Amino acid sequence: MKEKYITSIKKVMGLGSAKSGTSHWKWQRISALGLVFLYSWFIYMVFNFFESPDFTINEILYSPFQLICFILMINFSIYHGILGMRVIFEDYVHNEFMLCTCIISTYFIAVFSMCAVTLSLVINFTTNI
Amino acid sequence: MKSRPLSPHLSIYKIQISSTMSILHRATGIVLFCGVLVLSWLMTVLLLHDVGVLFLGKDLTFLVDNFLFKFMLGGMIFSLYYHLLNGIRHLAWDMGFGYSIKAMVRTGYLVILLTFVLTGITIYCGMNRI
Repeated sequence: MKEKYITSIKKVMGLGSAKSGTSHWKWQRISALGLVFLYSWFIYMVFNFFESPDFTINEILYSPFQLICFILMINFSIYHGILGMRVIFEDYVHNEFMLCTCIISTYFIAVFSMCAVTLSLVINFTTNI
Repeated sequence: MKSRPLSPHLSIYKIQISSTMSILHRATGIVLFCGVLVLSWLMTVLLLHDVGVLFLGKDLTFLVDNFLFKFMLGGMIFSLYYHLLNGIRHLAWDMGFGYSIKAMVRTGYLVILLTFVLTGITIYCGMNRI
């Protein structure tokens, strides 16, 4: 009976846009755009490695600019992967508890990997330069 | 209500280039995500092996000679090129280009062709180097 006296505007109050609805979609595209350039650079580097015998992985590991590109590439890849895996989980995992578990564990593993690889690259650069 | 059939009836679904490329984009995305995670752990272990971790230290030729590793590396190269090229196609769609069915089919076949060509070139050059 109580329902009758609640106006329709009251029913939808607080259920509307949280003002950040496009951020997931937007960052997926922005990271994709960055990755297009970073992977073009990486493929160019790989072909450099194929072509000349004195080009080794050290060209990337011990030159500041290349190392920054490489760190950005890996971190943007994992970030883009977090966003993408979330979409895939949301589409195919229908149990809510399992969905949260999948998304949160992806976050943990991904952030751990980002920290580990960035730190080890920086430590390697500073100790062996 | 629970056991109603879901919308894409997979047993009678007609395979089209649009849906195939879409599902392949997801599949290669999963492959690349797992691959980049494994590569980042491998790189962490290899870079820090002077400092502490020792079990993957010196010689990596046992990896390169392994058939399974070669197969996985080939899959990664294919996935990378496919996801990169199809991703550019998706970005073009987001900016409003190439929406007609004719353009969609053409760019789709172009992406598949370029993927195989670039994968072939990369594996050929890589085998010459290693």
